[in-house]
Amino acid sequence: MVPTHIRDYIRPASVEEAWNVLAERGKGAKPIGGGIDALLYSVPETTAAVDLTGLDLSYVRDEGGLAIGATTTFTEILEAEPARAFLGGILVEVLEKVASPLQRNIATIGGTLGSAHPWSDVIPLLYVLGAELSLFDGQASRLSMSEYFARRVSGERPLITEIGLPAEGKASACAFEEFSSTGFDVAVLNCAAFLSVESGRCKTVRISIGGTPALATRLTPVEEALNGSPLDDGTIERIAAMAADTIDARDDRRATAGYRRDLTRVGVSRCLRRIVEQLGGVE
Amino acid sequence: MTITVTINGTSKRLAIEPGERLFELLRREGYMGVKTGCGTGDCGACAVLLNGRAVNSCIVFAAKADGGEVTTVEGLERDGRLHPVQEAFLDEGGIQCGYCTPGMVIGAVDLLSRNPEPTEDEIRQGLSGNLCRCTGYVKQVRAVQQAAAAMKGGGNDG
Amino acid sequence: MAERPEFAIVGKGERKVDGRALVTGKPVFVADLRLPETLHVKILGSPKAHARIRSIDVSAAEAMDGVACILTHENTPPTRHTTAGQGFPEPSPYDARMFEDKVRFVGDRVAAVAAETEAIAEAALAAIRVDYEELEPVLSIDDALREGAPVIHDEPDSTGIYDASRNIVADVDIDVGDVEAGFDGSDAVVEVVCETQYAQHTPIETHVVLSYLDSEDRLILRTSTQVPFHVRRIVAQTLGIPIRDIRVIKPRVGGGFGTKQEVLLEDIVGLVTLRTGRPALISLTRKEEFTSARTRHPMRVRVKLGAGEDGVLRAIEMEAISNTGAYGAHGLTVLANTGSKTLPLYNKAPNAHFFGQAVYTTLPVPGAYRGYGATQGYFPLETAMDELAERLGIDPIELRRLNHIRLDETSPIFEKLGEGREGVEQTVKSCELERCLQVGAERIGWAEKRGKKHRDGSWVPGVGMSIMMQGSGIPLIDMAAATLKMNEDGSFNLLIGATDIGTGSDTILAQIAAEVLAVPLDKMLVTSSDTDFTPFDVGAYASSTTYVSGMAVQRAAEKIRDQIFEVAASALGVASSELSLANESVVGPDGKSLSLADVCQRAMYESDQFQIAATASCVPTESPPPFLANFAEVAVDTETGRIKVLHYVAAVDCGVAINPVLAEGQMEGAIVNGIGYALTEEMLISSRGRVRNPSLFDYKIPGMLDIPKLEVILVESYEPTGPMGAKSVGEIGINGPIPTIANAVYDAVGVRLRETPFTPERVLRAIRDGSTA
Repeated sequence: MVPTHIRDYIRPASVEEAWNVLAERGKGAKPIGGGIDALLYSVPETTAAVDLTGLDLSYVRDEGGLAIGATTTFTEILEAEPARAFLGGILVEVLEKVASPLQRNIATIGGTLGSAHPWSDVIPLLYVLGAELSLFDGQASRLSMSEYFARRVSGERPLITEIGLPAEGKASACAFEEFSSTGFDVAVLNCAAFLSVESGRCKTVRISIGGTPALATRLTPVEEALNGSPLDDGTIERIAAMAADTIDARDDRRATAGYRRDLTRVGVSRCLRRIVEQLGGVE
Repeated sequence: MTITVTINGTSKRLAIEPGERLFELLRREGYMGVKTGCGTGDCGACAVLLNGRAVNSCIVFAAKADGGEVTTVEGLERDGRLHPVQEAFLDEGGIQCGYCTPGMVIGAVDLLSRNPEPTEDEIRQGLSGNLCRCTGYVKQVRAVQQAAAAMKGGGNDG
Repeated sequence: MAERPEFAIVGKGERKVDGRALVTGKPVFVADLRLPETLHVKILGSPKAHARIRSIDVSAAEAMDGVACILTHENTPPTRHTTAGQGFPEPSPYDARMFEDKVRFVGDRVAAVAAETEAIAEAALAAIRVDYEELEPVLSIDDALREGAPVIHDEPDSTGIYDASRNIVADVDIDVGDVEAGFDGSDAVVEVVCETQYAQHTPIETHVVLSYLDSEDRLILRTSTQVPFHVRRIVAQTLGIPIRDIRVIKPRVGGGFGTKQEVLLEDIVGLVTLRTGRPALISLTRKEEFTSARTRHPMRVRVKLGAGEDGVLRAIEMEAISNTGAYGAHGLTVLANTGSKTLPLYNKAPNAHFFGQAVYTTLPVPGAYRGYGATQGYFPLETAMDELAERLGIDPIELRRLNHIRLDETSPIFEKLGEGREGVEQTVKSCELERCLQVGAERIGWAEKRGKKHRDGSWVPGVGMSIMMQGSGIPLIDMAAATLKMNEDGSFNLLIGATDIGTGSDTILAQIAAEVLAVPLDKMLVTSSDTDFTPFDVGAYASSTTYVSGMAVQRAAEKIRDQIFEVAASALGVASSELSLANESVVGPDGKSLSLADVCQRAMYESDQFQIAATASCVPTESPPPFLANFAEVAVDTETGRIKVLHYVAAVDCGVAINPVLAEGQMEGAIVNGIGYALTEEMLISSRGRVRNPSLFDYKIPGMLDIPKLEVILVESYEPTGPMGAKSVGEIGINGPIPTIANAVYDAVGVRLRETPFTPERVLRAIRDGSTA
């Protein structure tokens, strides 16, 4: 194997120290959780790896909702009772199919957000769970997923320290669909949906599609179209078709844009049906 | 940089390159049972146990092993006796060319340490990151089932 | 049909003789041998699909610290040869040079650097300046055959090309009877055209070679190969050195499947070692394996079938156009095999025509791949049969029954079409295809499931079937030999050229010898595939090892037995004819016996001493086909086009299975590989001829989550010409999944699939169009 470009392996003693190194070296340093991406995509400019896994950021706590430390591995999340119990087991359902067990043993939830791969299953799921990210970039803050990724677009890279998933009431459910080639494969397209219901109507709607092939976002217009509605078969089909039209679909070597729209329609429809089933009907 | 790591039960102090992979360190130290099939974490041939968990050594920094324990396939034998997973692979015809075998065995050891009575589906899930081109997986699944049964009966525990 | 005798060790699922070493991670593969001063070799691959090299400047690279040696067309032998690991004279064109001033595909050899470390070698590659004169690429069969197409092999010194000026490597045309008359006289005619894709073997161990000089300064090539003797000969030819100056050793190999039936890298590292005196190691990265190793031959194959109302075929026509990439290795033979391993199956057709061409393109180079053309041929043949069955209103299994070859029958195709030249007449002497059909149909639940089309949500299930034959070795061309020598503890050294690439041939050949000599397996010490110490064997290809190498082993063992009897007869004072072997002893009349250890002790030290040893060879005079009936139950998701294979049953007749566990293993592995080939594997090539997905991340092979309930049923026959009644089984399994799955999909959703892989997108489009895909 050809050596990577990493010359310094830094293990900071605190989040502040980690941030200082990153701020000082800019593109020259990369924060790592499991470090998979740093090894796979080693570029000449990046000569330092800053290992965040020694900063007590590996935990899963029941704090009303769920608080997950950024350097918690997927395996650790899958084995934590609070995570297993959360929202009908949706975290287990999705995470146990992410990558492979070998990768789940080392890949971290914070690292996945940092890498922001467009095929990520985790990102659309966190979007629809209303995840909030505790960040540090010299000062601490707490942002929504959309706000965090907006900062990324403008070139900033705040450190993630914690992922918070708000507690959801009884009348809420989440579903996820993923389409890929073989079982151990990234998604050609994935769909995540969350719904909370009040008086037989959709109250909180979150829908996120990833791998279009763009990075997942929330489909706000589609969500708004569903707000306040009942969820019968006709509505499901209409919303699914709308989602298919709304996504930013393009051809790539895995699929055509047209097929991705087909998958979106099918995926959203299946997610909503399963949510309806979990909730025992929404009308 | 220097790290301290216990490999197959022996504590070692080793000089490493900061940017090198655990795979490179292990091969350099003579653990030839650690194989490479892709270098990108897609085939599982390079799997070793790091602190008791199976990982692709080709996408893990060697530095991650500092202060920890690594077990390679060479470390599964105890006093000349094979691990039940190894015996089962031999018995059930789960080995053809043998190149995926070290990684597959390590993956199975990890799986059984956390799920001692896996269903067939759970075995497939547990070894989904270990590719094999020779066997078609059928006898490997059976080998893991046989190993689970043997270990339940109090066989040699890795 | 001959009766199967009782065996003591043949027919048992003995543990592999190399199993313990493999499961404990012993350093038994090529790259596990570390020698001091080893140079790391990397190859500069062409970024262009088609170009002349106007100039190449290695001065900056050569000046770098740690660079020991650089090879280009300017300092290497220009000998034209083939890289195909085939018997001499190879039926492939001599169209390759070590390095040339022309490149013909993206990844073609431009230069090689040997340096102290891999990193230095990589850096040196980047410092090599090449001035390319770009030529028009040729990116498809149609482009290659077009009027005025660029001539890919325009050099004057290549030989064995059918018509280089038209980019045609090979042309085959054979016929029996008159197919046109046959079609005219048919009540139903079906014609299909199928296309298969660029796919790759992806052995988990890529190509790797270590070369070094021994203490006598002979060149040793320690290589992951299927063909050690062909490597020795072709490297000698390429480098212009005597064969005796080279020794080839094949240690454990991490999978081959045909891609290592090729002399891909040995010449380069060999020359580095000869020039520097130092060991040299090359190990292809997975990306290099994808771009510059070998692949499947993509083919377009048309099959036309004509039959009477009674279901008996009147005519079969098969036309195959094969894309053989930038070099013609295996081009002719794979093309010929497409017809020679398919058409004889339906010998009831009195008229048959097979014709086709293998064509150059400036694309990655196909080579040998399990199935070797038969895989591409069975796709249209078995789907056309399925269509014909529907047209005639006959059950698909029944249609096969009416037409397939049977015991004591022959086909004129056997004689007319061999591997690149004429074939060899033969009669089928073992065939349990009927029982395979019966057993398989029952196991899949054919009668209950066929034609049912019930829905389960968006999923619709269906069942399909297919039958096939292959061969066992290449008659009159393959040769295998084995040497046995005895030790004074009653053990034997078995020296075989036969090449175990993970198939377990070391084990089954030891079982054959152990059976003859009545010893347990651990008394049979196998050394294989070392050109200095083991006798000749063509290598692991053409499903030859069990049948051909096995017979050589059986004969050698029988000679040993005779020598043992000679010694024992003298010791016991009886005639040899009164002796037999049992339980590691020679047994005579009146309870007289002598242990094998005592026999050898006597021969080695005591009386009329001689070394009990023998060598025997085998050249097969026929290639008895294994037979296979495949059945698959699939479910098709009509909303996404996804195909799930639920249940796959393969009932196979490979004669006597020397080791049933290994025979099943060969079938299971081949089938899963075939499922990948059918559903998910595809090398995507850009408009500039570059492989777009050269990684296992992007080229998806089946993993544990992708396999169906897979059942292999060994339906044994007894092949009288085979060792212990065996035929070979290494390849046939991979031919099943494509047509079987295609036929099952038709049963489910009524669409005919004509292009592999059957990706969800393709299938969904076919369902929507109500058409073929």
